[in-house]
Amino acid sequence: MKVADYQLSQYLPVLILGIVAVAFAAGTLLLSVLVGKRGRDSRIKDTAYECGMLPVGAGGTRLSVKFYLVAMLFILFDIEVVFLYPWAVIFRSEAGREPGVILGSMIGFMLILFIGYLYALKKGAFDWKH
Amino acid sequence: MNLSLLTLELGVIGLALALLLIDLWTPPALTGRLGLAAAIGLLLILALSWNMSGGPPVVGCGGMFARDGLALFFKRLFLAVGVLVVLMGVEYRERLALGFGEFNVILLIALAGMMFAASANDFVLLFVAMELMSVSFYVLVSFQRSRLPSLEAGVKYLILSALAAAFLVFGIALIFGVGNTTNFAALNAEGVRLAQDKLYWLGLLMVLLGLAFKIAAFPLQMWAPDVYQGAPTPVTALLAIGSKAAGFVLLLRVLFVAAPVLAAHWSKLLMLASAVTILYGNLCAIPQRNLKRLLGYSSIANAGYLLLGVAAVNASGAAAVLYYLAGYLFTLAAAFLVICVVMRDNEDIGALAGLSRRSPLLAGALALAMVSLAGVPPLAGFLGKFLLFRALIERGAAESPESFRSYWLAGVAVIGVVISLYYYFAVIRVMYWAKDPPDLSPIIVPARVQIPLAVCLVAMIYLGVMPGAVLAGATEAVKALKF
Amino acid sequence: MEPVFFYIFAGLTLLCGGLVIANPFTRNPVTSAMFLFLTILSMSGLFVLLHAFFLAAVQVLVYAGAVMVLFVFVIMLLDLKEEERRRMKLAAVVLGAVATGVIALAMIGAMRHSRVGLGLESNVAEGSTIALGKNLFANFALPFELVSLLLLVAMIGAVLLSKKDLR
Repeated sequence: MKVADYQLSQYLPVLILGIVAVAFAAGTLLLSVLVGKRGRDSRIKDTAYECGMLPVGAGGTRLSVKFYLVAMLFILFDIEVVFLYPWAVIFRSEAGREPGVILGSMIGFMLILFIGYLYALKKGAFDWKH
Repeated sequence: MNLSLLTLELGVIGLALALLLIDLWTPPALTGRLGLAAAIGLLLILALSWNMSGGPPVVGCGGMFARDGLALFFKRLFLAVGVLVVLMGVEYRERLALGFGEFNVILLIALAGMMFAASANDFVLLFVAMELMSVSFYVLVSFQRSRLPSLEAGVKYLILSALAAAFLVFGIALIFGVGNTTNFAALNAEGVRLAQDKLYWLGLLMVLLGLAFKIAAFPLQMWAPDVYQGAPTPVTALLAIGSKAAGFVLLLRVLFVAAPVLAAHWSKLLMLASAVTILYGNLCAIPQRNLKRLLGYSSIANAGYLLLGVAAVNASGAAAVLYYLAGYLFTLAAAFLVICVVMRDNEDIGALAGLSRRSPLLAGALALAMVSLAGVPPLAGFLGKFLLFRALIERGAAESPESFRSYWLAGVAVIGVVISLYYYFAVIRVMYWAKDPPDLSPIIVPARVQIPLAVCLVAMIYLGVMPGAVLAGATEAVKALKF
Repeated sequence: MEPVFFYIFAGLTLLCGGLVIANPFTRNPVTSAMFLFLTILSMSGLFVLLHAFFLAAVQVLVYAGAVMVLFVFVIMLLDLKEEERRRMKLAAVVLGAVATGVIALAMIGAMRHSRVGLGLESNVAEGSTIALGKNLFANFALPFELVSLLLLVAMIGAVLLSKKDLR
């Protein structure tokens, strides 16, 4: 692959897409602020509705720690997938030379993470009800 | 990738994975046996490592992994620490609440990280091995979820470790930018040309800063007392011995394999860091009442003494560092074994009152450990310090024998040793000559603590009176470094 | 055209990075998380300029996609409210300024005395996924396997430290 194949100008459309997306979102928000009617704000109107009673204490139930565990496990397996991308791209061409090595290194990698998956499974980390 | 080079590490990793899987299917009552099985496994691997000595140094795995005498010395050290810490963990089992099996697994993986660090010949392997150690320690230090000091220690360790890793990576990036390679041997080959580039100096300084965190030396030594106090006792032992030794082997490799040209320039800087570390550790230890916190400050001071050997920039200095670490291992292991058994709720020094009557074995072991740490002959600590001072004086004599300025660091170190005598003997005094000990019930010491304690005591005395074999091994091991 | 983009992305990175920790308008932690998200996006733009396209994509995918989500989950979990402004101690500010100044001086001094190239293009011919993959599995196979151990420890730690009752 030559350097000429990787002109940065190929990625200009991505940047334009990003700018258009941001501009669209920001633009519609701005438009609604400028053109729309302004509601009457008062502090009482912003409090939570409790059937006419004044709310006591901070609202909101405590979030379960399950969310953290799911997000954490997602990151770890996502990183595993990220390592799979370059491996998948070169596997065909590299496997010809020393067949076992490239396959073996990725199998070792995934085996260790599979043991981690078994551990999380057995410990009930994927069990949403408990 | 040449797998036959990695047999020791693969053994430890295989043991860890096997333990993890077996632990999923064992009932909770039997998990103590798994701990003992882990200790026996590590002993077998340690015995295997004796088969591997000899033979020329080999570098494999893309030039990253170096199997030479230095690596083997430290790997045996780490395996010995592993056995002792696993046995401490078995003793500590009820206080670990949940997940004793996982405790052993993460401990073994931390050990594997240390063993990879001992063989690092490339900055990338250095960084990955250090991160493997650090992440394992994040989990281990905060293992006792229900105990607030443990969680606080974990948070402090995490934040400071991340800061140190940031400096380390930035330094590695600068070094790569200047030298176009991360391999130690390749950097050394270009050493003279690179040493003129100030950006290389800055990169190496930042790497040293990152490593200074690991060994708890100035300027990143503030975490040690809090983390040592809060972490569970077996983890404190692994931090104090294993993490420090790993930091020192990395320091020796970075300074004397990757950049010996610069190391010669920086001897004064290392001496300054050593002096400040010694004084800080010893002075701050005086008012301490918590024994684990006291040992944390003492370990800062010991990092300072070890830096003397590094700052000497000669082969006898490096050999002295290795010998001191070997003695340090058995000394601290004995002390922490006693702390595991005796200090169940209360870690104050006052809890040791009357220990000489409750259990003469434990009191004697702790007393000998304190004496060895203080550097009193004929124990291992004295000989280690003597070798370090001798290497430093050799350097001073080589530079300018008549001028007093070459020997100022030896003076500072002697002052440090004198200060340390006070707080070490305070511990001994409480054990033997306390006025009204509140509790005089005898302590039964189980066999799983008696045997390692006996081994540590024998080793402390052996390393103190007969340095021959181990010192020869250390001198042989540092032939891998260039001065 | 490239230097313009570099300055835009670099400036955006620094500005958003600063706003993460020192936002003068609000001390809401979610606002800081959003500015961190923008910092990551600008940095991935810098990666594209260095011809490291795979890394730029991975940065957005993993860092901005997964890690920032974790941050926001944790902020929700801990129910962090807006912090009150604390009085800054003079000694801390002075020491911080001195430390930052020393590090900055060291870096600027080192850069002035060495021959740092001013070209903003990367001199790597190939930043593609294929080149990255070949380099990774040929030269860096050992650290790659160690990373799997790192992920395993993180997994065990996450499950251990967050499950209420372990089976």
